Amino acid sequence: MKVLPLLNGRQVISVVGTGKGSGKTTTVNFILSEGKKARRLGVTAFGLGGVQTLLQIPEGSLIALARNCEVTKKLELLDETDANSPWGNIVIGRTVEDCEAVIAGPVSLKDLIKIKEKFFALGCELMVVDSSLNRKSLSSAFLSQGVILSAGIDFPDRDSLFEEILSQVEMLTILEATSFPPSLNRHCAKKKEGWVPFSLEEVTPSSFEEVEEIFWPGAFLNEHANFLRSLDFPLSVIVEEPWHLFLTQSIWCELKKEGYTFKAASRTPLLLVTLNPLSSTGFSLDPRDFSSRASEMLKPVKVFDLLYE
Amino acid sequence: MSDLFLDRETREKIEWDQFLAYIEVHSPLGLYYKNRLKPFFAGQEKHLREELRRSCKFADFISKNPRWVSDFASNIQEAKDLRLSFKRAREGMVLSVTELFEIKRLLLILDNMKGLLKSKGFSLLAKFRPKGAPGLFRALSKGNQSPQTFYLVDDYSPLLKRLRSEKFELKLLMEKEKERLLEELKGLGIKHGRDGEVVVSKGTPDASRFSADSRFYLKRETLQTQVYAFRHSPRFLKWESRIKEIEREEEKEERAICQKLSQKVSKFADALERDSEKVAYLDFLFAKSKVAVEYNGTLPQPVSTNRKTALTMVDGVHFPLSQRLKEKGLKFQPLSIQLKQGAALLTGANMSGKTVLLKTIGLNICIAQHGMLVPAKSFRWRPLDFVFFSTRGKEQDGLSAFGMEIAGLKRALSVKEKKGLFLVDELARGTNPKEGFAINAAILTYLSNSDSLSLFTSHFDGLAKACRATHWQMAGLGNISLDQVKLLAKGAGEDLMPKLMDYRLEKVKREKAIPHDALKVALLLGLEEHVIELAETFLKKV
Repeated sequence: MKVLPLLNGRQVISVVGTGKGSGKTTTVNFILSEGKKARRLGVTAFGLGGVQTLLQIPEGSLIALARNCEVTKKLELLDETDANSPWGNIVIGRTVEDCEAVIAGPVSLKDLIKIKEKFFALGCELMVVDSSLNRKSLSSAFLSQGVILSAGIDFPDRDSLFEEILSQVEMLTILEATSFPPSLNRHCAKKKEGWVPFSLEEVTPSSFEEVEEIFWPGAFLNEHANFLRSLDFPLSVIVEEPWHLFLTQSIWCELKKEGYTFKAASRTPLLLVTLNPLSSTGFSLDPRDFSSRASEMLKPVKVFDLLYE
Repeated sequence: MSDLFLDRETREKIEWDQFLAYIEVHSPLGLYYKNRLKPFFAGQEKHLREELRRSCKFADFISKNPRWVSDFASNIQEAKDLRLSFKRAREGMVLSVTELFEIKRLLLILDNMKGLLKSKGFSLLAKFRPKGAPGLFRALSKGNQSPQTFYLVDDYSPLLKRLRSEKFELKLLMEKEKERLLEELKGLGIKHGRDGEVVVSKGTPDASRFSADSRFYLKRETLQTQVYAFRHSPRFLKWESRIKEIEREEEKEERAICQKLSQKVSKFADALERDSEKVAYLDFLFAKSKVAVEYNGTLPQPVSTNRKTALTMVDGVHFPLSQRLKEKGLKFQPLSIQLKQGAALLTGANMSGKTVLLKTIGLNICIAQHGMLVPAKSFRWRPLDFVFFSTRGKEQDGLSAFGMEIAGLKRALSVKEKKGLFLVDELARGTNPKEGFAINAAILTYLSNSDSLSLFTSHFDGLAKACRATHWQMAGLGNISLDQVKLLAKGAGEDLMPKLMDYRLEKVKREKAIPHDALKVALLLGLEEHVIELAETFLKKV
């Protein structure tokens, strides 16, 4: 199986991981290796604190990286930006040979957007963003046309490993809402008269009796579950994008059981889940078992075994 | 106060920082210049005139040449502050590839600027035209690289060329060998990963099979699995080791090239630093001229110290305030005043614009002394050593608001030998009226005999007469009676006040009682009419 055909010509892809040892970097390297002959690639790392990733970057690829990264010697430096990272401003270069390098990229979405514009002005055909799975990094999905989730097995509770992966996939693939408020910066409740803004402090169960859907601006976190429960009846919650949903597996499952549903005003499609059965702590799963169980559980999302594909 | 043109409180009061915020520089160099901005003091009139003339001509030019403006802006915004790299080069340090790239980009920008400033025959800016460093640019442009990009191309050294070529050949051979091994694995029907790695569970027949097969070696293992990889041939390992060797040599050579280029940079460092200063200035000049065009600034005329009239402002505007009013759909009423050396008094109803006038004078003198065009129709002034704004401050450091006010004045008055501007807003309003009057009269008289320029606002009757000070008055609500206000105020909104208030300034030729419009203002602010009527009865008894 190949990854590139699954992208369906999409130009900006975000790769996010479930955590350390998820195989995210292997996934990025896999895409770069597969795409090097087919499309002009652009790659950067994005995340809290400016993710540093060891990538194998093919010759001719564009890279956006902090000016102090060692690899700059192997690049034809093309452009400077005022985008920041803890390792200095971001510069854009083109690799003149295949190289392996630790790269650190931008830390804000605004800067990532600037880099995207520069990449495409320089002829990039496929931009790959290496992001981590945290609230800020996930926002890279905002400018992406597709997300790839890399799932590893390094979870604190190995018994609930599959449930953890399933929850993350479910959160990234919530349904798209058919209606939402015209302005997405206030809490709103859908009432007979339409979308009505509300303030969290003023809400009472009686004022929400006829409400079935609410819009939640910004991130929806574990602590917000208590607000939903205070209303005593299940609602459908619409968030702006799936990556605004930031719940632990246990809270996500509890809310689902209690009848709450979640939707997104818009959604960047989850294209693929890649699997890494090897843990950095010395633990591993049988790759075939892991792959077949995950494929079954995550249907219809496509699953990709990093070891054998 | 001795070295400061503006103290913190004055800066805040006249809104100097708010004004500076409108001057949007494009580059870090421009920002550096803006943050170090200094006024021209009395005695530096020659340089001040030169700067003002330059600002005026440049503002005029940019208002007529929008295309040039856009070229200049897009060019200057790319200029980075590389003085640290120049310093490092001068100290003999080896600059990184990124630093060399940034220097090359700066050289390109300097060259473009040179062209832009030359093409229009800017004789006024001739001394700010960057010189650039064509020799250094050539050194940073070896090979076929584009002027905008930078790479340590093979042309920099025959050794580098040879090493890279050998590495390329070896990598090709290794690639072919890898492909052959993968084909072999395929032929054996073994499912493997991208790099030919095979993962097997421990204790299974597969694990025993790979363990026994001499073509494979155990690459790594976990508690449950083992990862086997194809054993490479001795020649493959030799190539691999040679590539590592080449990469070490290549890195050494790249560093040597960077060192040579850094030495070259060090030779041009002083010149480039001077060019950077020029770019910083040009960026600031451009930004301040753009704002001046926006507020239709006038060329201020510094006058000599011998002249009796120390300030003449015609239709002056407080730019930040006028912008805030504009956002609300209101218009700033331009203010005109003439002040002679010594002290003058300004009176007027509450909210008639006395403080705004003080702020406008303070800010516009400050603008002029920083070499910028002034938002006024005409502006002549005698350059000063400082601007001081005294107002009832906040309680601080154990001093009451009155205490703070007096402490500030004490500081400003201590520099008798300097020629400053004292803007004193309702001094001693918080103390008892009798003593307040006396303090005002004393300081007004004291400043009347000094070389400084002062303008006091006050509600004390008879102050101008007592001190023989020039008296100015805001027209305020003088042309409308309290009864008329009562009628108009009925059902009117908050916006009635600015409509009724006359913000014009009049010189009081024959001394008269200062306006008593507080009740009208209170009524317009919504105080109930029966309270106003009660106040009227008390007023009649006083």
